[in-house]
Amino acid sequence: MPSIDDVTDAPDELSDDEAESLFEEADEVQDMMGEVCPYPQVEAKKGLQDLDEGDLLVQETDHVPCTENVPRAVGDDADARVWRSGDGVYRIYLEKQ
Amino acid sequence: MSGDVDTVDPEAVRERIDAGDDDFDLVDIREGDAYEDGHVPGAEHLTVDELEDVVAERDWSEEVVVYCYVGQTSVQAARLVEEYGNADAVASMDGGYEAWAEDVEPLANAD
Repeated sequence: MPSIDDVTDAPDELSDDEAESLFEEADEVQDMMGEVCPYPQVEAKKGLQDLDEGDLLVQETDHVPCTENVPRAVGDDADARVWRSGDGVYRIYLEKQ
Repeated sequence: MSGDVDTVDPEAVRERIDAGDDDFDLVDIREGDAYEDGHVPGAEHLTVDELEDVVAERDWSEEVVVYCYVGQTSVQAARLVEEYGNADAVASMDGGYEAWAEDVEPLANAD
């Protein structure tokens, strides 16, 4: 069946192990479940402002378009990667640059 | 995504609506309560989930315009219609309903 995931241009994907270990080291975690654009974009940009270079911000979301729109919104401020749970939960990993 | 979907300016959408041109599908993908609070005249409401369900079977108009809150998720939704639907031209409305409500609708009310 057609899925918005098919046409969403998300960044490189993390393996389950990578995602789990990085998640435990995250400097900030934002729960964006149930939120839709543009709120997650705004929160990601705000969150990154308070972090130092190399720090990691992770957003958890169930809104697939965010996996493309949030990394695009933060632009060069962060290196982005994504993790897909396989059952509708996604995490966006933003490492501050 | 190489060669991303087209975008259309909210002012251009208004001009078509004002000219009585309903030869295109106008789809609002925001949440239901946002749509109830206010939407572009003639827009039908389909959430992203509903769009996924109907996009392949539905007989679309030749032209489709999709809008969301600020014109970002509508890009992915327009890609979905372009990929799976039978429309000839699909566009995302730049700036979404926010741009419509701030820039276009006041003008419409002033006419």
